[in-house]
Amino acid sequence: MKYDIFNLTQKRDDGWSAKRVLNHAADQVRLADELGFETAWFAEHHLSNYCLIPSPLMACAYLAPITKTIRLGAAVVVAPLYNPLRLVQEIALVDQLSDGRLSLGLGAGYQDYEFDRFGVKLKDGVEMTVEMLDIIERALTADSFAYDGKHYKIPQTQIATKTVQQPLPDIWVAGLSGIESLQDRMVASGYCPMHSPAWMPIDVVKRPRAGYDDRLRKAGRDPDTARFGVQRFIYVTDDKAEARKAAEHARYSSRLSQSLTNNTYKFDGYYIREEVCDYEPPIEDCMKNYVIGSADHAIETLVKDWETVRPSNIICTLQLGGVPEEKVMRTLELLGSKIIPGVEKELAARGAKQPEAIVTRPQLAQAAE
Amino acid sequence: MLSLLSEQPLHLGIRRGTAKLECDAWGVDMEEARERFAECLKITRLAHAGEPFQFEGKHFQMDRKVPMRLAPRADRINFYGAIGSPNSAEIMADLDLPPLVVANFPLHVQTRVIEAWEERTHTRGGRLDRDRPIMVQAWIADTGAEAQALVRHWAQLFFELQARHYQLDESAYQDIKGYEQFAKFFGNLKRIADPEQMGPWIDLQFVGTPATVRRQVEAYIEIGFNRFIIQVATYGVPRAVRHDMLRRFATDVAPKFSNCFQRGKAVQQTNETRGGIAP
Repeated sequence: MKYDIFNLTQKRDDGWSAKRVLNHAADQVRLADELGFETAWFAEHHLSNYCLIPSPLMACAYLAPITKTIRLGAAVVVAPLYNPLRLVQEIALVDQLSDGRLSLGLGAGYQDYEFDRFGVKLKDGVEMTVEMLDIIERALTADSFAYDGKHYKIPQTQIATKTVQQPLPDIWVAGLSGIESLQDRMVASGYCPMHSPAWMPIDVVKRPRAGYDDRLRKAGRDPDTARFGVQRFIYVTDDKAEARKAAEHARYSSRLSQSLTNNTYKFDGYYIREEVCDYEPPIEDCMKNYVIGSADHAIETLVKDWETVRPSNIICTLQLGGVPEEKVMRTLELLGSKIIPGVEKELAARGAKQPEAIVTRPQLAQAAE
Repeated sequence: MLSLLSEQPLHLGIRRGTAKLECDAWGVDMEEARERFAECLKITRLAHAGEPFQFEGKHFQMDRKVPMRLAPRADRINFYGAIGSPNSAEIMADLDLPPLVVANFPLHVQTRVIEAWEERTHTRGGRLDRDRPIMVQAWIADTGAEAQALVRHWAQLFFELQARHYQLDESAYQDIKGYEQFAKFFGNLKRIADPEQMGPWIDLQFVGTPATVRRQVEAYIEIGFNRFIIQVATYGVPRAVRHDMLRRFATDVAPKFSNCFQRGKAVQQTNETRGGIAP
């Protein structure tokens, strides 16, 4: 498997300045770069403490000159909140600045709170994201292009800066597993899906994985090597009280996310109030569902993840809800020194195949030219 | 986010947009550009004030309260309004934006630009002690003839490219309210691209021996500019030439005007891309 690191850049309270949150994320990425992680991902959210980064591509541009080999990813660009021409050009710019290390995650968004304030209808989000993907493919692969979609109309236009990665940068899509046409297109084009069980058991990813496998087989691709990302909250400790505390930190993040999803959020200033979610698992179950425990437990859990849904990439999320920085860095170091080697040894014994290389082969949609 | 990441003063030049092909691609009516520019600036300032805000404008409506969570370092963010005429100098002064000028216009026009900005700023009780940057190309050599050869060679490429970029729009500007003067300006680009006709434009740049360039800097300071953006990275100019020009400016010209450029520190500072000097 490959191992990534995910930065939500959450601000738990006034004890964390924005600068401290951003510096902490940068510190994690620098260490992950040294340890050989494949990709450092940055989330995008707006107008609350849930995530401080409004522009993951700006974060990638910031990290590009201070990292060496780690790929830099947006997970995800909330596509409907962008002007397509600005997004396309910034994708190319960041791929150039990082010398071809950009991974572009796309998502349709899920927070009414954000969409309302951007003047965009959340119900249009999926259609807009599909059209945005059309535009990204055309703009970056053609000398000149025009687009006449339902949501976007662009006259004949040239993009001066193209990506280092040809024909396109590495593209990932979050969620949207129910959008049949998009899923088929992803399989044909080599785009990678990403999923997260959050506070639920890993089994919840089985269904989208099974659907993805069917599509891969129909397309003649090998499900055992196709790329498939799974995000996991990981915290390494031998101390039970500390483990529970870590689960509470991660649960805080999921509670905020759910309140934004369900439009039940309440604010104190720009802080979303942490409120119990009707359907949240008990904290004891959360502790089991997250990857929390000793290094050996982490190895066992990640091997089980592979056996359950065969991720090509484990997207390690270490900082949620204000986990102390030194604990995050300790877990990251243990991942590099013990856990990842331990998992890989177990997978080798099980005959696991290496994930395929990153290759995009855009299948341009016929419509909207 | 940028002000937090940079940890340094952030200088942002802003303008309404001049390339018609860009506005067309974005679906923006150029006749609305000036109003949109003013509204964007108001929204930005509201946001940077740090309090939740709403906005009701002609082009932008933000009827939901928007909180700012990043607490931007507003004290480090400096906006400048791009100015190309005395008229736009007054508009930027009304918006409380210091001028950002490109050295493309004769010195008497630059003088009128600064005078107009100062007069309007004074009238409305604004601050005059602001940075007033001007972007100037620098071509420095041991002899004047050598510097002239350099600028004529490299600037030709730059203007040919600009002429091609704006040629698409040359005729279109005549009928766009608020952009009438651009038709003439973009038409001139093609003429300036001819090295034989480049002379008047060259006279406005920092071209010559270090002693000549120091006098040219003084002329701009006399007009009222106090921050210089040295432009050497134009189309086709090799990296070594760019670095050489920056180095010469930093070592042979700038120390006379700024303590930041003391000899011995200059090369290091150039490598840190310090381009501005404040007398």
